Amino acid sequence: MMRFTFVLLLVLPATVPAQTLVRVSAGVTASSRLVEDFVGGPITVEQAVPMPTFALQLSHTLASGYRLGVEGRLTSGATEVTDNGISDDLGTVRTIALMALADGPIRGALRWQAGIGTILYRPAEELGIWSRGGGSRWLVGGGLLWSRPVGSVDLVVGGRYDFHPFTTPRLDAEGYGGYQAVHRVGLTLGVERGF
Amino acid sequence: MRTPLLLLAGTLVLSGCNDLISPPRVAGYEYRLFEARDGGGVDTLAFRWPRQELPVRFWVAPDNDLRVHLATAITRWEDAFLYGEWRGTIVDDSSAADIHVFNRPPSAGDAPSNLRRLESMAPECRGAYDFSTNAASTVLIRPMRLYVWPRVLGDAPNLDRCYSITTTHEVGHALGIFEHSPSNADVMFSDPTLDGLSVQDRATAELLYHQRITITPGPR
Repeated sequence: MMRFTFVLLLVLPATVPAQTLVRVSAGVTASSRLVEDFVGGPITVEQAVPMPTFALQLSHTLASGYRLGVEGRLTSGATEVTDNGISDDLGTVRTIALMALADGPIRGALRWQAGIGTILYRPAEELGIWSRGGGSRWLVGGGLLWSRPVGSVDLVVGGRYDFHPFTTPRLDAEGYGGYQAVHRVGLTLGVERGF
Repeated sequence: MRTPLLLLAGTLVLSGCNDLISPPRVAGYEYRLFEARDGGGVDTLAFRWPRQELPVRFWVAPDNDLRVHLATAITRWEDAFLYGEWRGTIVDDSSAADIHVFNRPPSAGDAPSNLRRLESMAPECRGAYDFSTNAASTVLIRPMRLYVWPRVLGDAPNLDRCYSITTTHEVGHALGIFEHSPSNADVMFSDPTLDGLSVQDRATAELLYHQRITITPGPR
């Protein structure tokens, strides 16, 4: 699907003024720890970095120059447990972040971006903290975009930071309170096309 | 433009400093084996499977009645752990297995040197496990053996349930809970009736997998 969208962006002629923009991007994301616990010794759970990242964004340009849009961002990475200094793998977990985003000009080809949404954790294996699934949580984020025209498309470099509170249905069921603050940063390279 | 960015920054500052809060831990029961030592004194034996040995490999004959109960028991014990501290799988090659499971009583030929055996019983079936170590009781000699067998001939009405309870009990021994629980509310009680794991069973397993051990698995 991503490849199809990418090819479509390159092939279709730009015959109408750019009102609706489509951007496909790929890159990497790094995440802070998902869990920090102590059971006879320190235990941490984190996603192995860097996580491959793919994103698809649709946005609409307003008369003011600001844009409003929606984005789906997929990451995938192994869950690493470090238990008293020994590392182990709890299987692959995908995250799907769905965000409503606004962006606006800063200077020249540089734009800011900010949004809110939800993040879903989808473990490949129901084990440990994932034994009752991954669940979903709210998400806020923001970043910077830099673009440069290349032929009929714009090449876009994006830096993104987002934050969400982390817990899982299993941790909830075990009586864990509160949540772990999870910070993620991502870097993507993409192409954007107006229609 | 500044307003949304300031709101975003404020949200991040306010919500970025939280941690998960662990619940109070439930006390488990004694899982270690206390063994009289030649020449006096007592040896404390504690064992668990290290992470690098996971998943622990069980072998049971492919067409055996215990196979389905063994799969259930493995899933139950895996679910006792929050961080994947113990995992098991069933393999078809007995020579590659860490633990052999038999649907019969132990026989004289199953008794290597330095053998420990602990039995359990439910109304319709019985169970036992045994393991042996080197002379210093510091290295486990594979494979461990689990036995679950009927107490009466034929298909007793509750034999399936008894197999389920007793196989879960014996797998509990295999993961390192060497002793029996003093409470009949636990599956690790010597005459268990619980078809599943109690809170204390889970707490004991979790405790065991985060404490110091005296026996490590030997080479395959």
